[in-house]
Amino acid sequence: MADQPSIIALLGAAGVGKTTMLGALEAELRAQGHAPQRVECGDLLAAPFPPLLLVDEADRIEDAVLATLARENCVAVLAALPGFAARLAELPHRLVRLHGLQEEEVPGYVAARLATLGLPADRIASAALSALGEASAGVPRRLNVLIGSSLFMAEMDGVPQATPSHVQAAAQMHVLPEHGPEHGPEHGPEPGPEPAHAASPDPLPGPALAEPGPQPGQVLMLPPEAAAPDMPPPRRRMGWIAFGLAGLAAAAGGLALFTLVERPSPPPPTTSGSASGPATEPAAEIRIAGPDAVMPVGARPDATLSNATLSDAAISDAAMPAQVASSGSLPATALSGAALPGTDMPAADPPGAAMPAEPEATRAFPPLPQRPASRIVLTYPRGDAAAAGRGAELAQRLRQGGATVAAPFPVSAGAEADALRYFFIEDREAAQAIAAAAGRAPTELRLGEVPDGAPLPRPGTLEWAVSAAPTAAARDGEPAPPPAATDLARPAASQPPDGTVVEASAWPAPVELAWTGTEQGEARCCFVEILGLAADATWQEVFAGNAEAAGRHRLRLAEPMDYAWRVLRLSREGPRYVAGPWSHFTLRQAAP
Amino acid sequence: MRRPAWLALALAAVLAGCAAPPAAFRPAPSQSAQSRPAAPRPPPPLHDVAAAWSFSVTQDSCTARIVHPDATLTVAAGPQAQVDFVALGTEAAPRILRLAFRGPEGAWWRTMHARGAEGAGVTQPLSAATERRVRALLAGGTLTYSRPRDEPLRVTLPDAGVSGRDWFGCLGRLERE
Repeated sequence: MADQPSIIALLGAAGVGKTTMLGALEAELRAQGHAPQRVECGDLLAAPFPPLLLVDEADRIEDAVLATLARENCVAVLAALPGFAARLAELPHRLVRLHGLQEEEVPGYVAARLATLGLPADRIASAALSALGEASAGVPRRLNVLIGSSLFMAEMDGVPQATPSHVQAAAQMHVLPEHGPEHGPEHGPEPGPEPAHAASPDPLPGPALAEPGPQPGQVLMLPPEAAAPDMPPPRRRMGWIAFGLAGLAAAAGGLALFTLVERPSPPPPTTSGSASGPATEPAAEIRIAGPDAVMPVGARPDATLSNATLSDAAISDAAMPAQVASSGSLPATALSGAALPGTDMPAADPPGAAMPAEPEATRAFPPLPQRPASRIVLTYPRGDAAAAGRGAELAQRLRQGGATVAAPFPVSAGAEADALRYFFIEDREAAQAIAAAAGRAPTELRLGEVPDGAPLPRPGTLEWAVSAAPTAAARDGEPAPPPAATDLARPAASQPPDGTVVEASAWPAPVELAWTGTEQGEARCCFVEILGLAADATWQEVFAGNAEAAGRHRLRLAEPMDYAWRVLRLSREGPRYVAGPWSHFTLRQAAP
Repeated sequence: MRRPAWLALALAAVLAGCAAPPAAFRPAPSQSAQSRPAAPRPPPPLHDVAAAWSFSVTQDSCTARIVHPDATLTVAAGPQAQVDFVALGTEAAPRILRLAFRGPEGAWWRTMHARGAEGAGVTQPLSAATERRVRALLAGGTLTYSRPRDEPLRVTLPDAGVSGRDWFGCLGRLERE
């Protein structure tokens, strides 16, 4: 076996199941403890090669790369169209050919496909099965398309069962030009030998029987492989056209007014709210109202707002419209700094992260969390089913304790021993409390490393790495990191001033948040948290993310309501963080 | 030529297993083969520049951005169960035709469709395949933006670390909903 060729070609026509088989092969290899590298498109392949390679669309591998691969001390499974065999003629290789289903295999496949779609087997008449086999030539992807289309045709006729005539009508429906209108010369055709195949490299279509399909009772639409998957469906394109027309109409209607008004009634304005900047005449597109003070809105006190400041183009795409639903998906504990139910997590602030008292202006609101809530990221070695199972069990136990835990995340470089990592000095105590609450101490509790170039995580993030083999003896990993030599200056909200009311006439409303206490050019220094006061008088997380700049963040807010926000300043020195005080503003609909 | 014997043995065993699916769906072997060779294309000239990650979440959306002086890629999921990959070049070269990624966790590519001022993008269903692509992206690698008139832009993408894995949990929540 040691002298076998390193290239194994998996050949078959488009839609026959090469990608699916490659996926199954990858899963099986990983389950056996190997770590194959999967390359979805051959033209992305380049030396150096890993010991075990799985390459889809290998037709696109360049000749020189292929020749190099053949000489390498690695094993490569190359999925390609049948013509690829000619390119391997001069190279050592083995061939595995895949072909379509035989006629007698079609009924079983159709029954399985219908079951996957949640449909009874009698939705396709037995007489139609041979028509399906003939029209699809036994190619699973074509078969999938025709099954869906035939059922669609039957529904259009108002009959419960697809007949041979429906299959024939479906087959005629799919005699389409190779490229849709979107594939104009501007885009150019996909490079490679088979455009149709190149346009749908997604393994989703194919014979993926495990792929969830429409639920019973749903209108059956064409499966995704019926059209180029990257194209928006016609209905959605119509939606975009309508959206564009609406946008043009809105633009023609005039500029959106964005008004900021000082809160007229208690709670009283704070220092920052009442002395927020010099009085100036309002800009044309901004109406400033209030008892006395008039100020440029949405900008730093020394700046004058212009249309561009709040224009659509100036708003970060990262700040997507946020819906503040009354039924928040995040558990209250994720937002609260109080002790996690069933845990010993202290509610008090950790050393070095003392939070200031709430400003007078915000006393009317429900209490806000002071320390960042702990959120746990669980990882396990990829392909290790046992470790994945232990991770899922641990996640469940932690969730039962009230912790916020994401679904376990597979990683290639698994931990040697179970480890619970925190990423800021301030989060060490929370990590200890989580470990105690889990009832299963990790082998190590230590400060995790953040790779160069990666952003510092959100404060409160913990990572529990489940190792391949369970480890018994628990130890504390390393001593607590020493406290930082210098204090980290606390950021302070400056815009909108605390306690102000912001009026907007366009939704989602563009809002610019600004703060002081950070240095210009301090890249990726800050993390912004925004909570909204829901109808049930609880705070719900509306936004959490890295700030776009050292002293400001722009985003859109979807709903008029009371908001609280703060900035957490992060430092790689330590690493550590400090949270700024909460600041409030109210966003409401401008009077017409 | 010397090969790692254990690897070849394991692979042979696995392939044998894969080649024997349930009887009803076993592909039939054949000696015939269609001939459709691919024309090799010369590799384009590339240059390396690093990019930076940033992440944000709302109650019904998850957004990751890969910011580079010459191009920005936004990966946004929600509120629908789909993931939008939107690439925007510079003012001088805004169009992106194709996005290709290669890294230790996998490689993939997507054709991008023009979206006016937004640049170009592609929408994928929030499926296991899309999640795998996103996970591969989070592990870092090389992102290549194909542009109509300029040479391809190659961007070195760092491992997003625990920030990326934390953000990925947002996708999982969307999928469950």
